[in-house]
Amino acid sequence: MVCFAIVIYLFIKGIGAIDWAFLTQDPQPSLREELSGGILAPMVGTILLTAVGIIVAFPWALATATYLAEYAEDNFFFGALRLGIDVLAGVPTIVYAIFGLAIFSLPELAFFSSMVEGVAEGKAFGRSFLVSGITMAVMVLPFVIKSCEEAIKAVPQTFREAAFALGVSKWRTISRVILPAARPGIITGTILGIGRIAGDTAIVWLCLGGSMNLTGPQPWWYPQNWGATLQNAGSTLTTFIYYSSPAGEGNSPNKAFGAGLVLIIIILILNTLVDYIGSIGKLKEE
Amino acid sequence: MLNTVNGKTKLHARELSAWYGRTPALKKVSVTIPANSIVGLIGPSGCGKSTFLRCLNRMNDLIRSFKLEGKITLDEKDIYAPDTDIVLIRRKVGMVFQQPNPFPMSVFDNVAFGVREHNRGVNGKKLENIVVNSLKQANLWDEVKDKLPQSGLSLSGGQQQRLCIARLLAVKPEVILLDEPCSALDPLSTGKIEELLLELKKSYTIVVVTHNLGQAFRISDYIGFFLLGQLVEFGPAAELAVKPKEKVTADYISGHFG
Repeated sequence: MVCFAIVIYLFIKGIGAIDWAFLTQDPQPSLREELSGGILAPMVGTILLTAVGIIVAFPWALATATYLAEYAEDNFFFGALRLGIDVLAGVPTIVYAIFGLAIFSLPELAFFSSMVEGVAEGKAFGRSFLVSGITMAVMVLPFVIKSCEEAIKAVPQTFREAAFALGVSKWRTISRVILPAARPGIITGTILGIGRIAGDTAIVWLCLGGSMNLTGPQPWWYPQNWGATLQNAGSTLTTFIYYSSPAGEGNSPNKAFGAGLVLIIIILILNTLVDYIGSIGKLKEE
Repeated sequence: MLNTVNGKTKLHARELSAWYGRTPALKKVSVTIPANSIVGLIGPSGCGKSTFLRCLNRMNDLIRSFKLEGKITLDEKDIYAPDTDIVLIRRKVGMVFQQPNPFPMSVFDNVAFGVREHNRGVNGKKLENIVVNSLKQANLWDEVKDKLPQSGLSLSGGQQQRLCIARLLAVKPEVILLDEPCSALDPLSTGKIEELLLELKKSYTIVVVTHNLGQAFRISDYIGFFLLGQLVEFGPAAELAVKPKEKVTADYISGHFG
């Protein structure tokens, strides 16, 4: 009920701010709302960051979950590993953010972002789509691992027995029978991860930099600029909301609401997309 | 040891004992299973007949607390020898379970699954032939020939069980183990599966665990009676039906317990 009220309120407040210009213009640094531009760059940022994050997190989490569910034995080592995953799930994202920033500021890892010029000992900038995407991936790992592991464990033992009894090896059984059967749960876990990445603010704030616009070479949509865009900074809708609302640093409350509404819509679209990708080739039960 | 149809021993167990944790499940079971015959295993619940069956294709390896002593040979090769390829053993010794367990795929893919796994090169017309023949062998073709793209789970219980048998026949095992294959089925489906087994024994060796004594005597060439982890009696079905050697066997068959 409360959730519903929030969505309704957001819709009423946000819908007025959304028009074509709002969606297709980049934000401008202005305290006058009518001059502060649109949300194109933060929208692109949200989608880019979510994509990087989930592309890194998904295979990592699925592999870990498969290992934990099918191969790991009940011993001290895996008990500790599971405890670690549970603890990580409770760590606030700002802690991941500061950790990510510290690691990716190492000059050896400068290729994820860029070098800071004019510093004698050498220091990486440590803020970029790649840096924040990887940090996001680590942040959502525990959640995605947990739900994938549950999904794999929920696959009936009879499927495993059936495949083994046909003389199919363990790995092929897992990849051809168990994982496809666990697909709905794995998709749910991925959607959970997407929602958390798209909605997170702390990691964006520390690891993606403080610019409202994409700082890579322009125009960013030229294929030769894609790599550089990922190595550079930008913003997402969550940080846009912060920068433009009076509670944060800006003076454009209506645009903040508009961006909030767009964020929710983007998350919905991404979820539908993942659902669709997951359902390709799925058999209809008659 | 036994006069068999063609005198050839397919499976042989010697002094087989097994435990789940510390609970003994099998006690020094020795038995010879002749090729191209149907061996029925009977006995009250918890007597070890399913455990014994699952030893024959090393299915019990999945249970961590399971321990085994003794020896099982398949064509005179020890299947528990350290250098054994378990996957290969299970290819030769296939299994059908109590609950029909088709994969959540189409009828066609269910049957094709094992073939594709074992022989990646097989596809197109050749694969289709194998699938059709297996379904025909399992007496299921007429019922599903229009339903090949449908989910295997959409079939009835009896059809699902025959689909599981077809899936197994497609990979051409040498031995078929069945663990109470009809206990979840109605009499009509049961009849169809019994007919099928009688036909299959021409080319396969079949070991079937059953609670249905009528079924055991209808289809088996040999019957083994298990009690409390021991193989009390083993012999030709005709002899066991008329004149069991042990009193407990006679009591069980006549319905005095179990």
